[in-house]
Amino acid sequence: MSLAENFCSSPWFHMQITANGKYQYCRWARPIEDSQYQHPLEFFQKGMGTIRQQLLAGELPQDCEQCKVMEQHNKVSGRQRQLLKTGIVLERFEKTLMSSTFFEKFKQSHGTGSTDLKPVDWQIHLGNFCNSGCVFCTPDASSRLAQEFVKLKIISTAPRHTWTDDPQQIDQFIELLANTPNLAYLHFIGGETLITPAFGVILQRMIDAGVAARISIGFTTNLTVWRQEIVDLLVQFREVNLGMSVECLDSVNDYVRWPSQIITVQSIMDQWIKLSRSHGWITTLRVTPTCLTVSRLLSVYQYAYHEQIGVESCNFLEDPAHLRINVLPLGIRNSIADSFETWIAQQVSTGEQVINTRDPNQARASVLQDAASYVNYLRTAHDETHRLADLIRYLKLLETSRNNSVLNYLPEYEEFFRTAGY
Amino acid sequence: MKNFLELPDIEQISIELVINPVFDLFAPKVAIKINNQILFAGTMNSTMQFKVQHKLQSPIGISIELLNKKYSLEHETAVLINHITIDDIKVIPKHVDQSVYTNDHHYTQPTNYMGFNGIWSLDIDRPFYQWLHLTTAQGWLLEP
Repeated sequence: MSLAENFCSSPWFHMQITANGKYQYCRWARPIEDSQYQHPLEFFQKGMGTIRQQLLAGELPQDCEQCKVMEQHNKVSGRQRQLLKTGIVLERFEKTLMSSTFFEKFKQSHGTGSTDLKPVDWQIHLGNFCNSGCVFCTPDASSRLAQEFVKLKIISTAPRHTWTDDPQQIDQFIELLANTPNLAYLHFIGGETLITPAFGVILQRMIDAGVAARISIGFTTNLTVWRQEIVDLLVQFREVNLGMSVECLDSVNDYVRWPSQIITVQSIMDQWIKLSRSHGWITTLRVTPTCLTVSRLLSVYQYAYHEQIGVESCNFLEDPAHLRINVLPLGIRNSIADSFETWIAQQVSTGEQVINTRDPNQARASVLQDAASYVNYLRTAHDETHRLADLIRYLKLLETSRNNSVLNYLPEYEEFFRTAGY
Repeated sequence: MKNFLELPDIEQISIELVINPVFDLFAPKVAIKINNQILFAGTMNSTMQFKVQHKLQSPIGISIELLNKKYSLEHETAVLINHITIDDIKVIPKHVDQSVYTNDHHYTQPTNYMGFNGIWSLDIDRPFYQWLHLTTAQGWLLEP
């Protein structure tokens, strides 16, 4: 155990609000149990004290394991990205830590773990308004999937309304943001952000509060809708980080991100890229690689490399467990890894690790690096083929309501899926 | 280092300068300072190397002055800032665009070659690694 192995600066500047209005200390961490705090600032300054204490002691909080897994597979972890935002890099950890803009604030937290800081980097879940029912998603993040799950009796009732339905909670949140002098970044996710009423409301309130011109906005869209009135708000912010969700560039995307159509997705993606370039926005393709899509994931890397835009996945998928990449047998995984490696070898790489993966000037290096991390994962992640039966049960159930079949999209897996009763 | 308390109170980094005189007849008269502390002042007849220790978290101001060059007699006289490294990281010439050269010929392009009387300076106005982060475009550097 060492400070360099586990320390993360994120709890000194970042937090997130979940769809149901609860507070979490990190967008990458495993969700934690309900907290007792009613106000986000109270949660940030006091409620996150234990996490800060653990990190200062060089310990790894148990919910931070996902970042360790990413680092084991040479994928740039959330921890590395967050450290960089405070000027800290692992290869010169001690000196950059002591030079950090936050160094005095780290010191102040020693003891109780509390801080007098305000969060300046937010991940905001707007709720589950969504027109898609992605197979890896949950009712908390998709109203469409929630309805389907109720119909299929997977859940008894759809999740309750989200925090953004409550005007008082929005007022409280906006007031906090408006009173945060160094506020830097707000990243919004849904549901589908563009159809979520609160997205436009919060953007407009930020503009009205006079903070838009000094902060960066990020959001993720599922590339199935377009709303010009939201675009008109976005252009008023200092910087926009656009995340476009796509799993691959063929019809497997239609199955996984049901009921989208790849033709429409690509057309809307082209519009966003054109708009982004005209405004100098930072553009990233957001993927959630699963055992159903990893064999087609290379198409995303190839497209991103060609267009010089980034590719980002939050982490190696953990939930739902039956969709993990390592549900595939090693033979299939190695074959996919071979195709990745062949392509990577054909490109020009500096070999240097890119931590600032949203730097447009390093987009290609970043794409190759992320692809290489999946090669590592495909080859070395432990076997979880025992989850295949759960996967098949789940897909068959979903397909009863969707009237489709995974084998029409992934015929190459027929023999494998039949072994589990498909 | 297992935890935050084990960090040293003061950490030092080294600053190394290698300066070459350029001349045929008259060696340049040079003054070299770091944070206003004079490292050298006089006639530079041969390559000089300086290595000093500096507090990690303190700003760094490096200045090199070429004095009293007589343009009618000393056509070739100049000073070449061969390289500057800080904590073993090459800073000059790689980041020469961050330097300022104020001289009597109003030559404004950032350079490591001083052919005119004047002062070349590199002003690292914050801890070195913060400056390096910004200079090498590592993305946001949040302020508390």
